Amino acid sequence: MSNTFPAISAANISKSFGSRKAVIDVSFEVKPGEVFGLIGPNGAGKTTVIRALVGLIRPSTGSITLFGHNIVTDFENAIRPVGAIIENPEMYKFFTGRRNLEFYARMRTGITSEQINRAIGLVGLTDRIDEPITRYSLGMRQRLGIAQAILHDPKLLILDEPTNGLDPQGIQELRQFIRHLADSQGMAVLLSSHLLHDVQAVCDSIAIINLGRTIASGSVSSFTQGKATYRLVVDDLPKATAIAESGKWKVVEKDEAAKSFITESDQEVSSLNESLVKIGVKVSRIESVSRSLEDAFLELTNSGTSDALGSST
Amino acid sequence: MIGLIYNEVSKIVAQRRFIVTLVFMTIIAIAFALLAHIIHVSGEQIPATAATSVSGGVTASSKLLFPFLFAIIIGDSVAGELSAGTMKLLLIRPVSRWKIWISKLFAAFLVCAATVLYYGICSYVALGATIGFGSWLSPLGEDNNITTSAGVATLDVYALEMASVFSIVCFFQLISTLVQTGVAAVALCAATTIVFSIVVPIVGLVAQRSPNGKYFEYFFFEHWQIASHVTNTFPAANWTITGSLVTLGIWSALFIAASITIFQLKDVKS
Repeated sequence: MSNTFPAISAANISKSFGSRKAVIDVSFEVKPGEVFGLIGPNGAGKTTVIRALVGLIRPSTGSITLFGHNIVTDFENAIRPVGAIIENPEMYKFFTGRRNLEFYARMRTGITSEQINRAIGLVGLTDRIDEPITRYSLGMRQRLGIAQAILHDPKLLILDEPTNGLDPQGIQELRQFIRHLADSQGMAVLLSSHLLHDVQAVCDSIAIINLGRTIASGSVSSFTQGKATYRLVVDDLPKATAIAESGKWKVVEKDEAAKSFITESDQEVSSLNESLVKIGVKVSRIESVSRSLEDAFLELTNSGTSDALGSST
Repeated sequence: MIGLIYNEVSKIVAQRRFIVTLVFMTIIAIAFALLAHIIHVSGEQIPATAATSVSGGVTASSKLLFPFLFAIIIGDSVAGELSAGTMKLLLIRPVSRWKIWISKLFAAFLVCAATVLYYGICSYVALGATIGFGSWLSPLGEDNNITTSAGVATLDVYALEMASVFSIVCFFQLISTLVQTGVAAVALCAATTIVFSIVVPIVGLVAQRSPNGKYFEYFFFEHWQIASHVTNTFPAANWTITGSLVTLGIWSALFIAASITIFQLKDVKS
């Protein structure tokens, strides 16, 4: 059954707290084996959506199914194949790391001590697992949180800000770990993060949430591919930018000190180069500048529209 | 369910305040034993032994000491997890919320019942060391026309005390389910305990003076002293053990139903 249904199907979910609407009509779908990013500014409603996905809060309207099971009406079956970290994974401070994992293992059937040890090994906590978690750094607690989420070999992993407290090496390892889980085990992963670079590096698809609404969704490449963008280094910056703007080129950034500018257009860059050479502007370098997810995100969240990239929802 | 209850018990006993509470109970038991010794030596009362005094000690402690200590040990069992943020990871397991709540209730009951038993053992040892252990077969005492043996009376007191402990735990879990922070839950449980200990004697006076005052006797807190039926010192006249048990049972069922309903529908936002 779990193979024929999407890992997550969120349909028109809304949630109000009193008169405040935290989430409005949010819909998206995550397929098995897909790494899906949920991004948005602070207070956009990401955590509310994630809490609704795992049954911590009830949506006011709409429905959520995990592998075909409704999270409200069939909670136990819906949550069984799910592992999750919701914000900071707070655990019992009076227990050691291992006792915390054993505690969560007792809440499921059939988790062996080998599975616990394997999860500990995967997150690199073998040497410190028998210490009280009051002695753990934030990064170690985050790793322990990941260990509790993968104890039972979930089919869907929901990670809310999983890189909090991790050092650059830990972030890199986590990225590789997430891709490994998705590619080799077919695990679906829902990732919420403020670090757009991480999302771009690891996710297949994303949804951008702002002010409680999904403003855009689609594959990561649909957000990062757009008009051709180039950086040109010239000897006469005012003349060069004037020529560019008089044609079909948009100057998006100027650097007076470096005598360079960034420009974008649907035209071939060779035509701009030709125009500049014709009026005597020397072009010493032309380089392609790729558009990042961050650029797309800022554009969408600042304008509040979704006409530029991805598909509006 | 056994795994869930084991989890909850392990959480309660792993906390330092549980050990502190046991130490406090030990000190209280020793202090009462020393007082009994002083009275015993002065010869002002009928000579008593540890066997004949334990039931009275437990009954007296059920008025304020036990509920107060229970408030500290288990008052934050639900609210404490909300404010510490551990509730999130607890509720995203394939276990329904009502089972989690019930496991917390049974764990709290087991731990509180064990502490009452521990207090009785401490009292017996401390009193035995100071005024002598005596025989469990000797009569409890001439006071209040009690003819049963000390052993039987102590067993009766403990059996009834368990009903009281269960009712107290149900009430405290309701408070813990209603509030959002552990500190507030413990404070509220402790405060209600103190208020009830003050109100019970007043209810007795009101009931004597006004026919309508009798209705107050149906409140649960009056019957938390159910064990005092054994020593004929129950605060409300004309109540039987069965009447008290039924009253506690109805109130406990209401507390459980209300708590589970609230817990099932609660949005976990912290």
